[in-house]
Amino acid sequence: MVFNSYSFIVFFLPVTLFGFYFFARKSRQWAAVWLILASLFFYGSWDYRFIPILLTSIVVNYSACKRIISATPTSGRWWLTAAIAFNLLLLGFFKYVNFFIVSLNDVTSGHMPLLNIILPVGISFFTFTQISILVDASHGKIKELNFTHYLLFASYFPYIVAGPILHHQEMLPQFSDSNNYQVKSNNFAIGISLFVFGLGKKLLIADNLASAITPVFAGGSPQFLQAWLGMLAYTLQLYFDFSGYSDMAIGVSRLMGLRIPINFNSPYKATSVSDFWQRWHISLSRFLRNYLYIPLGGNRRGQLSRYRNLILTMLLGGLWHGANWTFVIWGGLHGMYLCIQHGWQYAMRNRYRQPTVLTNSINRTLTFLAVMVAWCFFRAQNVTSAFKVLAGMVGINGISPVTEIDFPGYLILLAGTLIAFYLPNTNELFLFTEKGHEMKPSAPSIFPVKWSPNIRWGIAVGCIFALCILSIERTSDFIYAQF
Amino acid sequence: MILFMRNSSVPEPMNNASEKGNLPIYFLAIGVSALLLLGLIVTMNYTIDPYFIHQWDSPLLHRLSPAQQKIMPWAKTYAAYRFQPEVVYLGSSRTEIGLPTESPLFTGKRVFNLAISGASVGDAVNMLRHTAFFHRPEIVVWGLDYGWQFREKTGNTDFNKELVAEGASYPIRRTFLNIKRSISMAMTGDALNIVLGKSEQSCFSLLAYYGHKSSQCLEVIMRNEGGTKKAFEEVLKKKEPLGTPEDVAATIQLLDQVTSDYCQSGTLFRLYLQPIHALAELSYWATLTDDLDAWKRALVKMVDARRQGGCDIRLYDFSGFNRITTEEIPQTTGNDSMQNYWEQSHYRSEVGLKILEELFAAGQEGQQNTFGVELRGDTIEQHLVNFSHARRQYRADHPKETANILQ
Repeated sequence: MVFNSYSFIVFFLPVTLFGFYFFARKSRQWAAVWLILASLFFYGSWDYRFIPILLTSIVVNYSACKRIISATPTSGRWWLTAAIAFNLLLLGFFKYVNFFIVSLNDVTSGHMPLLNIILPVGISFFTFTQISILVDASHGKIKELNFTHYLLFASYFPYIVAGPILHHQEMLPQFSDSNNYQVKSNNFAIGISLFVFGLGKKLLIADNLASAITPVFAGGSPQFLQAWLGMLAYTLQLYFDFSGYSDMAIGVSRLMGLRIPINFNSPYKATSVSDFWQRWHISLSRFLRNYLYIPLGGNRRGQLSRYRNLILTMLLGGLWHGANWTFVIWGGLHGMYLCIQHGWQYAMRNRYRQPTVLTNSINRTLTFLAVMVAWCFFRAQNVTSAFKVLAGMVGINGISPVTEIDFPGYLILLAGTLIAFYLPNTNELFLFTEKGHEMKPSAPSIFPVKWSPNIRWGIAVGCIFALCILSIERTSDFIYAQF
Repeated sequence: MILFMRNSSVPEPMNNASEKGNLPIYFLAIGVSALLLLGLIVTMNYTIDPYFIHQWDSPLLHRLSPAQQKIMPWAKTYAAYRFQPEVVYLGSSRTEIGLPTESPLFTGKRVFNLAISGASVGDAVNMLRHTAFFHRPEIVVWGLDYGWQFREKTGNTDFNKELVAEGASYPIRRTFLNIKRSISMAMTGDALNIVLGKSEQSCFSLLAYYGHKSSQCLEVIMRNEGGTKKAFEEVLKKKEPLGTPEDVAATIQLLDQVTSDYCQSGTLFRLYLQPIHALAELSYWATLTDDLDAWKRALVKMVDARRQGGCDIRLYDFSGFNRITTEEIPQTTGNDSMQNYWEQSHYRSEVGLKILEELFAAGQEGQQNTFGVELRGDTIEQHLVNFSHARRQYRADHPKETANILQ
């Protein structure tokens, strides 16, 4: 079951919401249990065989967490090591074992058979979400843990397929707060609006860009214009698909009074690669920073050590996405970009000038191009295919002006570009205006749209919802659900 | 209770009283605008019905349509429900294009071509079950071809199993499905094009010809695709061999079961192997000749067993290297079109009429100049020897055309 399906919108979501608030009137515990059951049903709807894997992961991690909390520092470290090893083995077995076999066969010219393994949906997300709680428990940041709330935290359906990677400090206190078990109309206003905008991003923009992308990555040698437009289309598709999912997850959660972290803040408005990583898949960036880059030493041991840590962090971040060398190269490219950026900033540290509109525009364009080139590896089936597209982008395959994009395709490409670059993002519209929100606007918008729950916005949201419903003929999976 | 070192700060949303006061209007505006817009669009789509999903005996059938007509399983299942044919044709696009419903063989009978493009055997079985739910067909003509079509799974992705009749509630369920299908952006675009007069107007719907795809439509399609000669260029190119089909045994079992079910209630079956062009036959199955022979033997075994059980069932092979399939191609003749073929795997209605004649003239005296061969237990081995010999002979006679085809 995906968010962009009739079964979710017409059946699952209304039933889950009704049950949640119905039980919440009697007992918070019952409401939490209801939400757990709904989450397991949602997860099992992908494949019921995934449920035991998820539950095993949860039970083992919860037990380890309890042990770590009550253990001495030394034995706590042993428990932490064992639990992280368990998580990495679980992830490694389902996600990377065949990749390892293929790579070994390539190196040794061997013929070791591949294992028949189905990758459980969202395993990367629920594994990382639980690793963070283990590490924080070992640092003494958690004193007590409630099993029901832990189970809900790790299996919570809005995040489990494609994130955001949750952090216990943001989620667990909310499960204990009785305020969150009450029907609040403002939560519904924001939740519905975010869900509909996310649905629109997925169905009206991302899905309609596919026809410009598929021919470019079909294994042929795309020509100059086709390659550029295809890459632009993919760059936009990935953003609208993934941020659309995140908006829907945040919106659905908000309908139940719960707030999950934002995952995007107009990444293509970034003026540097490090700025990009503060705006793109924010929950993963945060995880990699807190649980990989900083433990590796961060920037505490000089420039060279910093560059090594950046490269290592981004390589592993790339590998987290999937078992393919293309993801490793994508991560490596971003690591290299970050090293170049920090090296440049270090070299120019005595010549700092306040950025101007012109320098910001140049920086934004360069960052966007660098990110787009890296996406080429992210999308391609293999490294050869990625190089063919890159060759097309520099004109090696010819410069024919012919593309396979039709007029509506160009319109969607244009609309997507304008929205990504010049309009406020959904978080700015619906969340940042809330009192007490810490995030700042992504960048000054050329069209400073401001949301408020009035009749005009109601009509706009209603019309977008109607258009989305018309577009659910064939449900398509989210790109990040495969990770 | 959970204790943490520090708690995250949770913002308090929308404290402004006037904004809170607007919320009921906001929700109302969302609901009303969404329902109104959806209602308007669905009504337009349902009324215009660009894909004829609920039309039969309707003036709309005289509306000119695009040559490539969409979601035909919807239109055909609805037509079968309303028309309740006595003679049905089943199969893939080859049958849909090749077998006309206007044949003197079936004068006075309700004939409908229920073949659908891209259909698997599973699709054809579902179509038969669907039409038989309303009226058991007296005659079933079933076009078979080796390869990917021979699967139990759905081949035509528009043939939703929900379209197959089951239970007395079908008319209501079908109306609901038709309305649900009208909730579609693609259908809205096509309906709007019809309203604005921008829709392609090439030929009448297949329903106007009782499910048969007319030559009027095919002429336009072939023109748009670049013609017969261009189509054959693809066959002449060097290609990777096709893989062995997966579900051969399972689909023969399915075919056996369904023919057995309907035979018992008196339905007559004529199965035939499609006459694709000789070059296509070579190109598609060059490396699978043994598998192809085994498939034919299995079909013969099944048909013989059914016939011995009292069924009126026969199997004919029109494929191979006969006077129809070996027609010279445009690259050789210099003509733009062919007498028997639209392109390498779709034959014309004239060929289809000959197939029907041979299928139903079986056993009659004075048959001459036939191009099909009836396959039976006592003839199959000789037929396969002849087939193999003809294949070698064709290669020898057409070295240039077959140069890129694997041996």
